[in-house]
Amino acid sequence: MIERWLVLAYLLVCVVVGALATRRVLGSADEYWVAGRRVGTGVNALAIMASLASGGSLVGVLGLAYSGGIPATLALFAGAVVGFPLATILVAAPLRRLAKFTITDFMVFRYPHGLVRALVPTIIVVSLTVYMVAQMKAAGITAEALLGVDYGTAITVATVVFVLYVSFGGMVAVTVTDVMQGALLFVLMGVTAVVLAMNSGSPIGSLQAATAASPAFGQLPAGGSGYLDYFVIWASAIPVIPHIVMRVATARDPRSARLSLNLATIMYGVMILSAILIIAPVGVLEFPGLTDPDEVFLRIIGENFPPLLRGLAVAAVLAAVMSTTDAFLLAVSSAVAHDLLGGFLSKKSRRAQAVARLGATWLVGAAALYWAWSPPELLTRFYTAGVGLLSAGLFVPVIFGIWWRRANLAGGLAALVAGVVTYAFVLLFGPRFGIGLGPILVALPVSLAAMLAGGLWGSSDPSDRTRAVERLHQSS
Amino acid sequence: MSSFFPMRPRERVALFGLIAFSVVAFLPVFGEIPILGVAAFGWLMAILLLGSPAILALLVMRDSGAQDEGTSHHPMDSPPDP
Repeated sequence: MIERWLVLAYLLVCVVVGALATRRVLGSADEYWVAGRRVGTGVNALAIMASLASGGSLVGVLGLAYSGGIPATLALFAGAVVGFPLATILVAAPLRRLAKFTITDFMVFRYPHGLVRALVPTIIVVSLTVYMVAQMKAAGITAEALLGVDYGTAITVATVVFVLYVSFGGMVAVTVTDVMQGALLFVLMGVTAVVLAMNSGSPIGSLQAATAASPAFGQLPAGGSGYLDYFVIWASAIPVIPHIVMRVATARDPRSARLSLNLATIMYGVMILSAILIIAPVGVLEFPGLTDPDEVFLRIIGENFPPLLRGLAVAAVLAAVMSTTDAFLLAVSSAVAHDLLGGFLSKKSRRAQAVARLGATWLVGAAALYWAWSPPELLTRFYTAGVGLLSAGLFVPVIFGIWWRRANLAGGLAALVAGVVTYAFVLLFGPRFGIGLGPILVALPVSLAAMLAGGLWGSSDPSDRTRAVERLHQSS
Repeated sequence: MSSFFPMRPRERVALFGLIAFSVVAFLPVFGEIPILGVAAFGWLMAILLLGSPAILALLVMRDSGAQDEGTSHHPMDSPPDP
């Protein structure tokens, strides 16, 4: 019973935060999309960590380690982590200096073409909506298992709550709730790891006992290279993924943006390592032979902790889901209301623009909820494919658009289209044509070749655009 | 003039170091050496997981410290020797 009250209290706080932020954000696009660009380093770091740590980071990481072994699981999560240093070096400062809102803004600034204006937000809407549905499904299953609330009610209540606070509170509400959610996650994972380490006497002893009891737990899966695909997808997605780019735009200055990205990743790394090296071995030793590996976290919590901590654990799982989903919802809404309809809305009144932003958020939330009621069975594969598509299309044009002087409209368009088409083709037909590599491992080199061909043989960009790109590399 | 915009030397080293470490870690040999029951590949990933953001955070703090002291004003300048 206490679990339900804790979760209800948590949801209520989220709605109150959204309501309090409304007055500040509704009158200004800058406040709504990027919290007025005044978010401090520590707050931004915690919010980035929370939006990175999805339901998968809490429940899924332990299930993956339990079933797939420690090395492959570490590779999956290391890919996302490596993406942050890449983002720090390659994109954070130039994108912050551009002083826009979204990754589409950068692409349109660098490659002004109708195809870019239409294709980039469309890819964002499709890939992130699929990811949101997967997160909502995780919330529904968790609430059903731990609170006894039926799946449909759980996802409807959770969706209404986060659509409420995102639509009325914009990035300010997302930031405040993400900080709460990040702190809750970090504390819960930390407390769980410390208590289990103390109970076992020696975490290294537990690790060795678990790998001795189940040698596969310490080994790479035989014959599989899927973890390399995953590593590359996430390492190349993070520098261009819309909700992280929007977080960069909220920072006070480029230095704060760069620092917060890495502080967030250190916290995330500590959390993931605690889960994989301390908590997962306890699961292998105490609960061998689980048919559903994702149960391992909930079983450990259920067996080792009192009701209050179990309630916090449920709230933390929901927090993990909501902190990722709200950031995605804002990013998808911005792709609709700012990227796709921005030109049309700029001629309307500020009130009409605010109504359009609200409407876009509710529309996207409703579509995701509708889909989440009966999600496709291979959802995990779909959302990984969605993130891969985003990365295949955007990584090369964004990075080369910032750093290569010869990058031009022809190269950018060619890299975008070649990356997307190649990724989709290999994903759908690769095995039929004997392509053994993962789609991302083929699509990125093809996108790069297209960029180089366009840059070397296409016509140069006008000099004013080249000078504008050069200014992105200047600190003042 | 180079075809690429200049990058701070320390960041260039960090970028190539990060890529090189990742490539080396994925060599098949590290999948076969166990340390404390876990393949060396796993430990290399764990180092990458914590080490890469920690090094970058130090670099960013050090750069901003240099700027605060007025020793580096422009990202295209080579930073001063330590």
